Amino acid sequence: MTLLVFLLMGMSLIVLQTSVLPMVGIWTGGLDLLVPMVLFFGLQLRLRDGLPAVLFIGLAVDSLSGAPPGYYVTAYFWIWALVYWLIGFLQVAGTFMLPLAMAGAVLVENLVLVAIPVLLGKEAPALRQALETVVWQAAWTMLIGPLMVAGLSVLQRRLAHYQRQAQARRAVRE
Amino acid sequence: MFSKKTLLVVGVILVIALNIIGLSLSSRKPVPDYGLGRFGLVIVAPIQATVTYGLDFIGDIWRHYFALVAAARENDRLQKALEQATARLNACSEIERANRRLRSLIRFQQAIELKVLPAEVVGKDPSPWFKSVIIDKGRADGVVEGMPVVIPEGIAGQVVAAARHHAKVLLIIDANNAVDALVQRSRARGIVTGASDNRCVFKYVLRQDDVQAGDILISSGLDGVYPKGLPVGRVAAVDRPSAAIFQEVAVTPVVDFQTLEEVLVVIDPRRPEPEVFQ
Repeated sequence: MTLLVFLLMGMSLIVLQTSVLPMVGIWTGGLDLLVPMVLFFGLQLRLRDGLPAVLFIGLAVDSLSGAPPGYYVTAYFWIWALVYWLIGFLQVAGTFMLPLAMAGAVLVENLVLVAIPVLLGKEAPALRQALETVVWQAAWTMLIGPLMVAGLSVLQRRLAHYQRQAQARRAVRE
Repeated sequence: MFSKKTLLVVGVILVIALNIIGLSLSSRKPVPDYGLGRFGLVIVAPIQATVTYGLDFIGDIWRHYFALVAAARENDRLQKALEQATARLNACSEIERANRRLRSLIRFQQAIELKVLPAEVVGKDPSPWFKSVIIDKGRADGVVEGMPVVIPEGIAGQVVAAARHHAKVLLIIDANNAVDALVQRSRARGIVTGASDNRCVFKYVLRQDDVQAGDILISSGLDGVYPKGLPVGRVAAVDRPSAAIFQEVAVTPVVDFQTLEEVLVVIDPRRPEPEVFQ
């Protein structure tokens, strides 16, 4: 149930990012709304929910992007894995750490999407333009990301609450 | 001595005479110079004024307050009508623009000898590093991987993935795309590939080849993907490094990819025709 809701949320964000915002003329400067969501999966979801969700969303974005297949799955997987590993010994979800984690996630994503093609022999983008894009993305993700994570956490708590209620009702009936 | 009747008659005559004398005197000097003549002005006029002002005040209230209620209602109604008219106008101008674009597509469709399929752009690339769009035509419409995608201005890109009802088009401004192209004027040949900042580069053009800023690049047709003779871009700048075999040529695409909304997929005549066209 939780997984399904978050997958639907992910798909909605993809549609928002690839169709709605460009069509209404809102310039996002390459801001990836899925990054905060992937980070949230690493922070809040169990392995059995988080990993399939990350892979599903990565595949969905991959199929819509001009990037060679597998780049977004790779980027999202490593963001998720790093966060999942970090929360073992670091308070990543704190007020100070969360925006930093967002910026870090943006860096990881861009490393995968830009550095790997360059290492594989593709032409590197102009340094200034690349830096501008990454800084813009990181700044906006640091601003919007924690709000998105907060919203998703509320949604997750609600879902858990409804699930408990449903289980209790089922138990009473039985 | 006199009877009452006589006295009454005399009295009446006297009153009439005095009245005539008084009127005669007042006719000679119409503006009275005595206090009583200004009685009306002093006592009645202020009352008149008060009443008049009062009536005016009530009239004003009526006109500017009670009438305002009606005016406010009228204003609301007109505001709504204006909003509706503005929305209709926006819709009309949007339809007009779409109509113009579609007419241009149809003219282009009729002008070129290739079989083309109109499609609408429904999504853009989620990444700033890659340049692709999603169109609303797929395998069910006869679209397969490798088909070129064009618009009246020139080449837009190539289908790289096709699902049943949608397809992904890699634009020529993506670094992974390449178009075999010629300089229209001098026929110098090279490869146009995507570069950063929505531009392209014209690669592998020999140093001695004649390329100048402003030259139009057209597809050569030799890559086996894009039909020959379609515009690709315009040369923006040429750099001839002294120790290099090739020139560095920056190209501005003829297609404005920011505003790309409708495209034509060229159905390759060399491929077996899909069912939908048979």
